Amino acid sequence: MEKAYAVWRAFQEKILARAAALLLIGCTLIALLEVVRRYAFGHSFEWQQDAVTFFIVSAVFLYFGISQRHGEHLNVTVLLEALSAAGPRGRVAVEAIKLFALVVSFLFLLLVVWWGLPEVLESRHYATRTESLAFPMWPFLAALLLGFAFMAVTMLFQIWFEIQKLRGRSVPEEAPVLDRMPD
Amino acid sequence: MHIVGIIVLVLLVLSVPIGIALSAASAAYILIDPLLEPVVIFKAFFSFIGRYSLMAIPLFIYAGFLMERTGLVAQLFRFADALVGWLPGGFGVATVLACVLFGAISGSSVAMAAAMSVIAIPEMTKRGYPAWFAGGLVATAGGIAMLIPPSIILILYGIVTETSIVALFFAGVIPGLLLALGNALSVIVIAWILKLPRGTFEGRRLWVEFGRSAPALGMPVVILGGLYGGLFTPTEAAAAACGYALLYGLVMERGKFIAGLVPTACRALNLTAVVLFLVGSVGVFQFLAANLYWPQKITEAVTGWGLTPLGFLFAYMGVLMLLGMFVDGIAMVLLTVPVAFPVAYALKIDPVHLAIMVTLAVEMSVVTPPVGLNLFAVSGTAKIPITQVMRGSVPFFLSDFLVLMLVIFFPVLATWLPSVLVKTVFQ
Repeated sequence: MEKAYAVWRAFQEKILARAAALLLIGCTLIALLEVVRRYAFGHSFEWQQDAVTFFIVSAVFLYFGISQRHGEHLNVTVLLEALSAAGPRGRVAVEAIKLFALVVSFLFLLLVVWWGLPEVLESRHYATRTESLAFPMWPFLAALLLGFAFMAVTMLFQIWFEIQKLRGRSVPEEAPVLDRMPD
Repeated sequence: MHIVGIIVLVLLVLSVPIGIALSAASAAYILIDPLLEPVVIFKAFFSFIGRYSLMAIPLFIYAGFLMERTGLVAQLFRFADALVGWLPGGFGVATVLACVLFGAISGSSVAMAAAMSVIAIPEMTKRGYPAWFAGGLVATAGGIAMLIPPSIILILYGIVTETSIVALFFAGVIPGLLLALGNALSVIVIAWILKLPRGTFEGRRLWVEFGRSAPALGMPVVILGGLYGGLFTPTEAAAAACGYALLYGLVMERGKFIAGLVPTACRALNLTAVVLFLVGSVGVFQFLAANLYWPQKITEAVTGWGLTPLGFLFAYMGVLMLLGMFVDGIAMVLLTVPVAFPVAYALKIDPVHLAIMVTLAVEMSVVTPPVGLNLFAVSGTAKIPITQVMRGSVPFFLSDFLVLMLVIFFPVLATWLPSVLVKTVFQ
């Protein structure tokens, strides 16, 4: 399982993260170009807003699973902190609660993927497009579906590691990335 | 409504990610309602996030991180020290001013508190400032950035309530400066009591440091000037901020800066993913709430209690303060504003005024234990015990509280600037 996790981690870091970063950089440049074009040449791309919106959100969707791996998604930790301070039994309870939270989240995400799949297929079938009609909608919907699916896969690994922790075994730890709260 | 509320609460207490708790509780209701299909969860999530105005968030975050990479915080700090370091407790006042300046360039309050911990705290302790005082000041002043535009909390509020983000940006300026003034006065009083040393004023040094900081200080001028002049929408202002940061970074660091573009984008995306996951989930919750007329029902119930606008504001601020002890700022805004806003609107509370009060409450929550993120950021980075940072933040928390009271009683502090500079509140 640890080997599979290493492969998954490498996939996220080397492929998904870089692809998402390039999308963000590209969209930033498109948005900039639009401002310059409008004021310098009096023209604008009718597809610019759609491109910036949907490519950036796709990059963000791909990042859902990576943020999950770093344990960044916001949650309320008051109970966990109270139990952590209550000695060894409390710490076991903390791991059990974390496991429960992961299982609930994993099952919910699976359901959302299941419910969302027909929507993506329907969008493709009926060739729905973005507001400017420049882009088909289904690839962006598919990116959201993939984002949820990747987050679920990450959770599956985390569930496995939580079980190992409860069995008293050591597991690989992911450091959180700072900057959780923007201004 | 009660069932959904109970499910959300149980899942939150059990540490389920807040976004999933909201969506899962909505899903539980949707599954038992024969008129709603579960696919609406997927649709509502997508359509709530897929808005051009929301793209200001990743772009402002990216711009802030790009600027942070250039060593800008240290430079702004040197400029602030040259400008106000001669005052009693001058180094502390310079820390507050540097937080305001960096807040106007964006960045994260936690990252800023951490960066200031590295730059300002060692220098303050070297000059005889007690560790508790230095730590508490940096932890609290780090939150000022939330009021100074560009503010992601204000963008989120604007999107959830459909209030003009430009108006909200301008509304944050005066309360943000009041926060800084309150913190600076607290520093001066404490420094006077503790007899802390002050620096000397040197015109030449100020001129040199201003010259070095001027290119970075041009960024808020571009952002606010572009918004005021109607040249940019908030999203375009964010893109312009990125362009400015790219240009600044290329000039300052050249190849090293280009090599860092992708990792910096990854950091920005990591933070954006956390924010937008929660925003999308709030979209699902709002969809359900709107379909079942919950805002109207809640508004009727609350107005039926006979609360005055002021009574409601105090109650809401109390809830936010309490919530701030357990959840962080983004969650505070996204969890409470969709419920509180219709009530506030029915009570004829100005949406812009409400936004600033909410943001002030969120700003104060960064130093309220046990979740106050800035307390941990400063304690971890500067190696000061958390209890000392908490102790040090008390006087600054009180001055922030005073500003909140002023803004509650004098809405004009929040509404005057946008009323002069921006014409339409609802766009």
